[in-house]
Amino acid sequence: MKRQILAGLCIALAASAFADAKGDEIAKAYFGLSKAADTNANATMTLIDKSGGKKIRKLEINYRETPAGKDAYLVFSTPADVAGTKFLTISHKGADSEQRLYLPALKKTRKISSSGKDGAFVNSDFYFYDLEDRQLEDNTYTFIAGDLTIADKAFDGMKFDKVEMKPVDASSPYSKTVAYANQADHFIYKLECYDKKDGSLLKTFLFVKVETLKGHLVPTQTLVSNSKTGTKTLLALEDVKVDVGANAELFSEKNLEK
Amino acid sequence: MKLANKALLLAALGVAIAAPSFAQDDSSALFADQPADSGASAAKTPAAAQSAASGSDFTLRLSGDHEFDYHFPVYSSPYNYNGPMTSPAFTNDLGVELQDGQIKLVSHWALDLSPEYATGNDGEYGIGGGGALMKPLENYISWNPSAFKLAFGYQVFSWGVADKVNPTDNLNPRDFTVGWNADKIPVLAADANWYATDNLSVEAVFLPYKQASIYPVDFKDELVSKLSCSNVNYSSLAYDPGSAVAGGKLNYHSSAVDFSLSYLYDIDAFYTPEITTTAGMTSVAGISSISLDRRRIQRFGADAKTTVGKFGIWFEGCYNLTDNSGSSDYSVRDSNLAYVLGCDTNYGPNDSFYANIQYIGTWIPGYDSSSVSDYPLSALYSANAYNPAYMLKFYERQTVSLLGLETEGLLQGVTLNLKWEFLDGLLTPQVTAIYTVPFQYDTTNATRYGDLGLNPEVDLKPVDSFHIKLGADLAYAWVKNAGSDSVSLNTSTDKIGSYSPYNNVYLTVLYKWNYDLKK
Repeated sequence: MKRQILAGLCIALAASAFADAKGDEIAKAYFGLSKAADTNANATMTLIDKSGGKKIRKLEINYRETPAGKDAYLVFSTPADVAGTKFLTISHKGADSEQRLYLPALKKTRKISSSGKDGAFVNSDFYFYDLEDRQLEDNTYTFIAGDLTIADKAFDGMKFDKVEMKPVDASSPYSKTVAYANQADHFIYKLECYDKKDGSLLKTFLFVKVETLKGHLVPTQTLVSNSKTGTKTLLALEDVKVDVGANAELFSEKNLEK
Repeated sequence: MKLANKALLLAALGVAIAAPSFAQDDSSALFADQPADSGASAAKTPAAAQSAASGSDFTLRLSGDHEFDYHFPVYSSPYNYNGPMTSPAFTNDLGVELQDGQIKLVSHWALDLSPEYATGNDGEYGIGGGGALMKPLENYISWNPSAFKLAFGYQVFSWGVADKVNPTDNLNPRDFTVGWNADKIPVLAADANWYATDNLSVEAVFLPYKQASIYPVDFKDELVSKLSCSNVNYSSLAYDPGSAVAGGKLNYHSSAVDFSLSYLYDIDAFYTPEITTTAGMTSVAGISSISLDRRRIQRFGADAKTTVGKFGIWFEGCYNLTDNSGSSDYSVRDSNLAYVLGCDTNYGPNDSFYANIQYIGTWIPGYDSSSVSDYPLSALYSANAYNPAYMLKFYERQTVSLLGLETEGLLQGVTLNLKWEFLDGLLTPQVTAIYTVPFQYDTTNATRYGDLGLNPEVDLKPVDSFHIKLGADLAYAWVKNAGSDSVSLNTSTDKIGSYSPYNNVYLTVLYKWNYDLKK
């Protein structure tokens, strides 16, 4: 009987080790995908409340990859309440990002706290945490299942590996994230994020449309659904440009004031 | 009947079979009214691509803010619709902003309609009459090459990191006729910014002429009534280099802390009375004339801000150095140090849940806190009254500091701003409050128990950029007069309390729009 238990444990441990190795392999394939050095696009963010009411935010987004992570420079043009508002994030390796907000009504640039990672970005279903760049070492990975499909027409014909990701960073607002990685191109098309407070499903990200630009996979239509509030956010990019050698001055405080 | 049942059963089965295929979601359908094609471009020429990556080469923005305000007086002087603070008004800000490469042109004009403007304004700001007032707001052109920003024209500046109470923010005069949350008046200025490094920048600013702030009271009339002197006149600044204002600011910012140091060779926002007395000797030395001058003031400012966890923490201070030559000089008001220490945080699920608290203060070293007690009636009803030098000092001690709103040696207070939202942002209540307590002042006539300014407001936003606001502007100051056991409201001399007669509940309807064209 003891032998049977030991054998069972060994099989379970071996399976677990195999699962982790496979999880790591899938994660490495995803993080190994090429990233655009910089991205510029016009974005339309549609905030949908639980009764279906819509609010539109339009902004120009600029990203660049740096050794420290991802820098972002965003300029809002719609609605008029926030038109001209500029948002700058500079990443620092091993430290909180540096965030500044330019408010045209006050003609003032404000240094703002970046530690409120579970704060909603412009009242959308995106947390500030969601906008940060993630690295392979930011999570541990466990393979759950393979050859899965997502019941959504947008993903017809795709086969997915399901991987559980647990954040190393204690400041993450999620207890874990379940990712669906496409077996063909290794891109993660779906994320289920679980609430750190009670472990229940909090948000689902669907990368509805992913385009190949200069060899990089770039999601151009993203849907975020909040299971707790019933709200949704659609993020659609247009006129996307990648690897155009973004001007470094774009990601600086002086650009906020010009 | 059986056939019918069979048909129903088949139909039901058909629905059941078809159901799974319709049950499958189609997230892409949600994007049906979004751009169908990302317009992704990866094959631009390098030059075109570079300019695209650094923003559009040409942008044109047309914008408008249209606001209707109606105030319901709540204080004991009802229906006191005799000033912009309480008059119903329809105000419009119409703007054009054009950017072509490194050149930016900004032009904003205000067209305000109100019964207040039926008889014109004081001529200092804007062109009024017939119930309308047209005012130039920001009108400037700027050139923004890589490491510089050069701007010339009518501009609004915003120095300092504190919230609303900014001791270092003195470049623009204010229009206090609209209340204690006064609007800035754009100033004609040349402004140059040099961004020496990513962390360090230097700003230099020059104003050839600085107009006076606009106050809800006429200081000339006040002096005429209080001093029984009819010969009181404003002394206008000459349009020459001697009236110019110049300053500079050094800014440093990093991931750990932002700070700046500033200097301003300024013109005082308040008037200094230059008093001449009658000869005296055989008669009481009265006042023959008062000239209300705007004197020089030098401002040395500093501010710093950092973030700790979810909190922003800041300090802002400014030492305002007047021409006062010492403790026995009463002809010029004293120098002072104004400071703010504050913190803020977002405490809810989004940035609509915001709170900040600030400790504020003004310290006047060597403040004259015996200007009343030094002059008992026995001293005035004596030979002193015939002594021009004695009486000049008396007149100066009763007027100079008061006209500069220096009414205590130390003023300390707290400001609070709290905001949150309901119903997905449909309703956003907020409260702004300020409470200040004076110390080191002459208590001969009265003991003061502080000033309170309170602005509760609820913002209803049925759609983006359309607001219906219901709020109240409330100001109080408490005082216990000498010989009295009861505390009463002071509605005339305390800084915030002087606004008490204008306490009101207001309704504001605001609509904003903008149209952007990019090429």
